[in-house]
Amino acid sequence: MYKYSCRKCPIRSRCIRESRYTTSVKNMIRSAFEVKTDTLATWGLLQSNCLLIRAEEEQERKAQEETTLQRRLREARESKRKATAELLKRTKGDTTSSLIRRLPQAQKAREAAKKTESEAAAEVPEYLRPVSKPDQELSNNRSDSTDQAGDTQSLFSQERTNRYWFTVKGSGRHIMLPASGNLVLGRFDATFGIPPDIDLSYEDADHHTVSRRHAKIVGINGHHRLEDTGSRYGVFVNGEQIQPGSGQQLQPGDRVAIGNVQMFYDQIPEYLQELPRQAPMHHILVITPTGRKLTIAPPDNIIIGRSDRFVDFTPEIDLGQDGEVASKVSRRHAVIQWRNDLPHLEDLGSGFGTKINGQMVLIGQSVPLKPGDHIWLGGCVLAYDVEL
Amino acid sequence: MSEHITPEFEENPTASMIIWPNDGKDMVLIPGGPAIMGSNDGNVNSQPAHQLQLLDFYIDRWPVTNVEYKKFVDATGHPVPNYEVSWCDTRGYNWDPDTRMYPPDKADHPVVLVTWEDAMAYAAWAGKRLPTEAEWERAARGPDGFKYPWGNDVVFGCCNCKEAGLGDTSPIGAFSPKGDTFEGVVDMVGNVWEWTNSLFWSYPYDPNDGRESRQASGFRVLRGASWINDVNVTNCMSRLDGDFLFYNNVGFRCAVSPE
Repeated sequence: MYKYSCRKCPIRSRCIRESRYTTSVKNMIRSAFEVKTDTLATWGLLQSNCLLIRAEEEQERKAQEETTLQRRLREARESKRKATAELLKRTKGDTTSSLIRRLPQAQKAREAAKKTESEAAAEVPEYLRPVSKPDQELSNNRSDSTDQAGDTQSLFSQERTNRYWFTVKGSGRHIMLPASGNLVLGRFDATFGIPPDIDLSYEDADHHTVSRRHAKIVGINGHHRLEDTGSRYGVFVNGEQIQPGSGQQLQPGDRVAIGNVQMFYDQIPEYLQELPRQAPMHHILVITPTGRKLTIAPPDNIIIGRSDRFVDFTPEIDLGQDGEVASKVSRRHAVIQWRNDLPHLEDLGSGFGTKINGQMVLIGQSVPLKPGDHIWLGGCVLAYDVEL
Repeated sequence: MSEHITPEFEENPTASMIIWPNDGKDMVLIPGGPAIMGSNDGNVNSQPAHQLQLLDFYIDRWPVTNVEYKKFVDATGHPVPNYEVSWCDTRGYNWDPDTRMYPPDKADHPVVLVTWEDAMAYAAWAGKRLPTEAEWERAARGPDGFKYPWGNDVVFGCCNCKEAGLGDTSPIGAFSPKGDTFEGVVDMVGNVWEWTNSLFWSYPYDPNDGRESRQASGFRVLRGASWINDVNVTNCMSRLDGDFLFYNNVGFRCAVSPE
């Protein structure tokens, strides 16, 4: 039943010491081993957090990480190879055509004479092309350059299906809704239950009407469906309650009420879908459980985490100030990097992981942030927004 | 339907018990006096420890079981717990909507998938009320204010928590008499969370500040932990705000004040 025998385990005392139980439980476990009355239940207690198993998992995770890194490298290599092959093909065509262009008129005539009329007719467009060639090359180059430089710039226009968001009445917060996937709306609680993807506890602070897991948004092909997940105070769309267990398709302009928190479901305005690259804007992060507002600016990298006075470490954004919301945040949890003055988020190998709009950020993945995105850091949710 | 299960508990000579005529449940007298609430360590919600005075009251010896809830729904025509929802695994707990019958193998298990309103309706039918948070805690901790019904230390095999490994509700009295309180109340800790009358407001507890109002809106307190919770939560002090309608680990028991 169990992987290891705790009775013969060499690091048992350490395992007991580092377990998360209270002192009396630890003493009880210790004495059970001393007088040899330990049972499978005692082992279960210890092995829920077994150091050996954890070390193994760590190794596995590292191995997986390596494989993902290798996979990413391989993908990069393949795409590069493909690009060079295409480039070669293009330049080959170019060289032949340019060679042909440079050929003397006589040779051209000879060649044309050699070929049948139909072939010549087929090649005439080829010969005509050099006139428009420089323009085409130029445009090609331009598109290449914009592809490289505008990799990050085209973020807002890339996902055309990602067009809807919630605007919370009162605080004016925006909640980006993913085109596909689930999103749980609720309230932060450090000890019980599963932390939600979108945290409404700040807006709810006066009324206490939002449940821990209150509602669920199901995105299918850019359309969204709202479901009640057994909340006490219900979910309302345009004043009508959704029955628990059923759902309702949302239409643009709908008024949605989660407990006492009111929101509007609407399209993201055009000017935010395609942000001008050099637009002057303020980047804002809101720590949603407490409502603390931070302004971030390029070009320095910003580490989000929890300060630890034992190792004398303080990240740029310290969630430890906000009390128990940081209970599952790692010391170095995630980092915000700037590319083209737009923020990108990367996970730094945190214990509980990072999610953006309900989707897990893989290690080594750099995710661009869009206005209305919600960053989930081990239960503590940050909202990103811009002010133009 | 006539088979009513009377669990064979060990008689506790110190307790004074009555049988409530309306629903035929054993009730235990908890004498009034000073009682301790909360603790100074552990969860923030149950801090700090403080003392308050309570009057005499009777509390159900075990949570309301499926058989007893069946009597209630038969008498009143109240809807039976039968749900198909995404957020809670109701398989194995749903009642048959046609025959209005509980799951066949769970006659003497506590009833689950009940909302606070269901619990209030049952209490009204039986001529009882839901216990307040303070009464529940006094009944669970005994006159000495233990952390667990049986004492101050964790003892395994005394309650249906996660470490018991059942992964399900258990028949009432399955952990009796080891897990009983001083007065002989069973299944206080573990098995199912129990609805109380109180609103989830922060400590210290004051019965006169409006938190016992039945009309006020807010989350009601759940007490006693369940088969899902682990050893850190399963004690007499932990509180949970019932921010859901029903769940597969939430039941209730009732109380009455003597005339």
